[in-house]
Amino acid sequence: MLSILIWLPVAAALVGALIPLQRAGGLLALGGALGALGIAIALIAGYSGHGYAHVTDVVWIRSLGIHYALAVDGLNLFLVALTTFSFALAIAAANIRDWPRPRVFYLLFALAESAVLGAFLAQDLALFVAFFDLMLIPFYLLLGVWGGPGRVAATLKLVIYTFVGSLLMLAAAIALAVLTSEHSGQPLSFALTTLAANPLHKGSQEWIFLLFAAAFLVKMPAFPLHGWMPDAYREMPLEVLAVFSGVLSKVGAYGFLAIALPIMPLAAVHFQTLILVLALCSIIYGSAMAFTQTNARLIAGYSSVAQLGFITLGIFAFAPQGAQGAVLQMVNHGLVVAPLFLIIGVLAARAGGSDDIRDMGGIAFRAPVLATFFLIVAFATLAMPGSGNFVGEFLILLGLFKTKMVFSIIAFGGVVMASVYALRLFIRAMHNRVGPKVASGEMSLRNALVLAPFIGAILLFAIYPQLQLHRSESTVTGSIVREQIDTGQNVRVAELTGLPAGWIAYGPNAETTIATGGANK
Amino acid sequence: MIAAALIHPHGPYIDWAALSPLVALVGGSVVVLMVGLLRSRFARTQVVPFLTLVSLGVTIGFVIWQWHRHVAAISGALAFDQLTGTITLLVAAGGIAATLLSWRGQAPRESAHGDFYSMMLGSITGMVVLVAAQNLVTLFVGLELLSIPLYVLCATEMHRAASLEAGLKYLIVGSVGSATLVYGLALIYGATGSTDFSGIAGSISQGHSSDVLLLTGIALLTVGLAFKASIAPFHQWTPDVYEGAPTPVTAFMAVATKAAAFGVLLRVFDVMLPAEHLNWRPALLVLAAISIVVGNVGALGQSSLKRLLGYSSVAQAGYILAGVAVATTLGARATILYLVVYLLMNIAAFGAIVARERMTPYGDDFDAVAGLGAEDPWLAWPLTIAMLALAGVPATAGFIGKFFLIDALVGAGYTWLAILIVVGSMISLGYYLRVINAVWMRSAPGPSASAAAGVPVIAGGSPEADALGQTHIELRFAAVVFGGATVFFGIVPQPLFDLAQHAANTLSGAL
Amino acid sequence: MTYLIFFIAAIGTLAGAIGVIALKDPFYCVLALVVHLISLAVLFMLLRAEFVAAAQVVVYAGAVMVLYIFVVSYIGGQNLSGSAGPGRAGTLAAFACAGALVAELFIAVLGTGLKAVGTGGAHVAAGFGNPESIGTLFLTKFLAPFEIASYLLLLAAVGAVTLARRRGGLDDGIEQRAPRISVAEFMSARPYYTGTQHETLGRPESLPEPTQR
Repeated sequence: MLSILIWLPVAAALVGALIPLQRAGGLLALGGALGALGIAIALIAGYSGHGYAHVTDVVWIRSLGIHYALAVDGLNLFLVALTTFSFALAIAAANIRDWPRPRVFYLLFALAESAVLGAFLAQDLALFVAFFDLMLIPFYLLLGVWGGPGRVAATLKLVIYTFVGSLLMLAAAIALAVLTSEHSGQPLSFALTTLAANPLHKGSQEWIFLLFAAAFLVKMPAFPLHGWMPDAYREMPLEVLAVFSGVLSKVGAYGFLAIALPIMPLAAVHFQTLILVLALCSIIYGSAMAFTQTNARLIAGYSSVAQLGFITLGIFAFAPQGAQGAVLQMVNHGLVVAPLFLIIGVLAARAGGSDDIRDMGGIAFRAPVLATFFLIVAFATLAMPGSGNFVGEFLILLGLFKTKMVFSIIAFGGVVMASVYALRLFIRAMHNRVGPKVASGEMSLRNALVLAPFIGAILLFAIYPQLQLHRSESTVTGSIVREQIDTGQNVRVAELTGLPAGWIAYGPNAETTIATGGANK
Repeated sequence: MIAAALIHPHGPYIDWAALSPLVALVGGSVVVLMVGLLRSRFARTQVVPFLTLVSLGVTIGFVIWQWHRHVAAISGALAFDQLTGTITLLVAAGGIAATLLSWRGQAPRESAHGDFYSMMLGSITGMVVLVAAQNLVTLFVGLELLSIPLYVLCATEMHRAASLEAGLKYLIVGSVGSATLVYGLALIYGATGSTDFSGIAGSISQGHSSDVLLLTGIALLTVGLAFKASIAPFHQWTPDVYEGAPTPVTAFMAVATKAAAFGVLLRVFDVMLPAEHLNWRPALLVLAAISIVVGNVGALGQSSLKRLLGYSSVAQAGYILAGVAVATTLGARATILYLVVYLLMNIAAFGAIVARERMTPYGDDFDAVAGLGAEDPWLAWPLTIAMLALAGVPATAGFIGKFFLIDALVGAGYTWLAILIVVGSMISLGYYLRVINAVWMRSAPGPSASAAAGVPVIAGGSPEADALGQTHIELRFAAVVFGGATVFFGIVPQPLFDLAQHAANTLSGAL
Repeated sequence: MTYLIFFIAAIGTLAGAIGVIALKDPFYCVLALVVHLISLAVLFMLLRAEFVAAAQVVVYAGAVMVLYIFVVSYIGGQNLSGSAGPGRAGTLAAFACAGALVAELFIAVLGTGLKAVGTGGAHVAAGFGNPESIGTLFLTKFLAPFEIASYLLLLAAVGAVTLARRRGGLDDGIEQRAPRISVAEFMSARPYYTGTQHETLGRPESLPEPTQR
């Protein structure tokens, strides 16, 4: 089931690439993406709320103990759904336009979807690393071949930054598995559960954690490692950028939750303050940059930096609410930023092809539907109460408040700044004086059809965030349980919140961890 | 023993079945030489390479037939075990690829087809002998049999000064390497009193370890083999020779010579000198580190694809040497696996480069592949895959190779070298991606038809005016097959692991 | 007596070797090489390696050096200096490396812990290293390298022919037609532009016009 989910998009696109019809590539890719979306919805409907589901576990490389292990849990369930959803709509949006060399374009697009899904679903560290590295390649080519005029320089930056991170992570992953097998005396295994069950010494954990963190922070991108972001965002085709920003950045955050925290709890606690400071810097820097930029893509890009900063804060709060909020926010941000880029594309088409908000303005008068859609997205971006993002940010800040109050207060400033840049973007583009080259007009039906599902999903999560929270609760809490023990908070947390359902499931586990953790020290 | 031999000199028993791969190669080379003398043009241009392919195919068949035997043939001078078998398969595959690449090339035409392919088969024979060698004399003869035909092959595009220069340069540097190697062999013999690998190993373990004479011999032997495997700092010839030699020969040198050189390195260090590993391991580790740095940094500024691959081969030699240097069975397996992977990636790349050399007037410059993605996807994809694989991207065999190497290094406690491999891979992105950029993100530099009228002779290129515009089905075939194999083994790598395990089993007794 | 011969031969070996690289005139270089090789042969004789000594004289001092002298007589006498050698740093580095190698070898030979070094030498059975025992070894223990070496010689000959039968020449960038090599052709007329005496000295009445083939 999960293998079909992963490989369906690329298989469909491959068929499309081999059929000598120019149109077929796009339509088949779209079909594959929709099929994947259908499977993902079925997964959500069927998920019970506890543990792993649809486990696939086949030996991939026997000699290295690498398994082709996939599973759905509460953590990746909605990220998978987000991925299939965004990709399906982005491919649909791409179908509106004509592309040079369409078959290769859609093949790469679908390959990107498969790789991202693989990274989310992988339950084997080596498999995760493979998919994590693999997803870079299609984006690299998509940016390099179909991007804007400065694309070659942008690809170099993108690839060097992200690949450096990936390769470091590769070395770290192998070192982790080898050291773990030496430490525990078991045969070499990359399975996440095995690695999490046999934690390493603190010293080994620390350097390995840093390498992983570098890879994830580059991908997100977080403050000091975001150097590739402006160029890449400026040059990437918008349909690609929508998924790139909406989905790929989440892989980094997901990596922290699914891999770094459960496997290296001691190091995560050790570096908590460092990561929190980086996250705060991301929020402040991203917000500040977002309201000084005039390029709409960069405004959205820097706002992503800030949002990912929030997500990181939530993860490293080491409190259930924080992590829950982070996961919710990952999905919300994906749902918000993807249509934002698509809307920017629609706007740019009305502003003489320019992405600069100084060239836009006054578009709203003749495009009420577009304006409505944009407004909903903008409100969601600034985490208006009543939006899903509000719930997410609230949970994050709540979680953080309990553990690190100072950070929480500073982070709150970021929420305020978000409203400034989101509204600035909206007002400058839609209202204000009509730009010199603006030829306003309502968006086409096809564009609306692509955007409408996004808007619907945003509204759905605004009204009913529990849809996700219930399902992710148990897993998410489980992934940070070690840190709580190590920071000695679990008693306090338990007192404050009362134990959630999934929390109890980890009770016995937690006791054994305390025992082994004590032995390791 | 000698006295007894003198009184009753019996010829040794010859196990023809075990020798059959060698017989196929030698016989093939003689037949090819003779057929090349026929008057018919068809016989020379088509039958000769076909017979070469047949000879190599038969060799592969014999290797598979003899796969599970472990024979010390001809008084123990040659060992036909699974290490030899694996390397034979590799060099034969390299030979098949090189034959395909040179089928309609310039080099065999200028040097007579029979001679060209006969020398190539001879060189392959030398590689097999080298890897199978069980005593110092056979080792040296095998090395010379490998090298001397290659010196000539490098010079076979005789109208081109660069080709002749490459041949001469390779001859001189190679002879220096051989001389160093012989000196080393002499000192080892002097120190241990035996020419057999087993005898030397026995003598060392009986208490001659860390003897300075022996160590000097090992050092000189290492240097001699490092020349062949183009390990820095003994690599200076590599970029020049790679650039100057006819491109099919470059491809052959890159993959087959490297496989043979590392096969013999494994044999020498893990069979003959395992007891000395405390002394040679640090030296090899340092050489590997230097190679990784020098190769990757050197490749950054190159404008010729062949030079770029030359430097890249230095860096890759560093990676492979790291597997030898750790002196564990895991390391040996990683080495062999990487050799297989290296063959696949490089042939895919060279196939595309040779095709572009014949189709465009730009030789092996970056211009030759610019805009290839739009123009000719069947060449662009293999080249892209090869470059990504060389850089170590997942879903290609290169990733698996690097993964296993790093695994072996970390497992042996050399995490610093594993990190260095990773850093080297990062630097390598800087030049592999330039190739991909040229393929996908640049447009072709002007219509090639206009340039075809008066093809300027570009140094380093191989202008083959009459071949412009041909379809080059055999080149496409080689590039696509090897590129496809790179992806296939990136996804289903277990067969490679099994092969490497078989080959390294031979060595595991010694480690 | 043995010592006297040893020292004379050793001095001859070293002087010859130095002469090869130090002398300017290539002809004298070759003569110095001959001295070096013959002195080496004497050293081999002192070691009772009669076969090697004989091979040294016959093959190297005899056959190979005659070829050298032929070549030098053909093209020698030109002053080959003036070509740009490596720079000063390169020369120094080369000397440094050579010096390091010499030092290493001295350490190796002098510092070795092997007992046989410094004594009368290893004890070997009577007849060790004489032609008969070498011949026997070639046909028994070292049969494989022996046979492979013969194949190597064949290939070396093929390679030499390939290089010598160069067509077109360096100045001629245009590709020549494929060479036609047949037994009959070898027997009758030689190909053109192969530098034969026939071609150089010329007998125009018997040499047909080069036709485009």
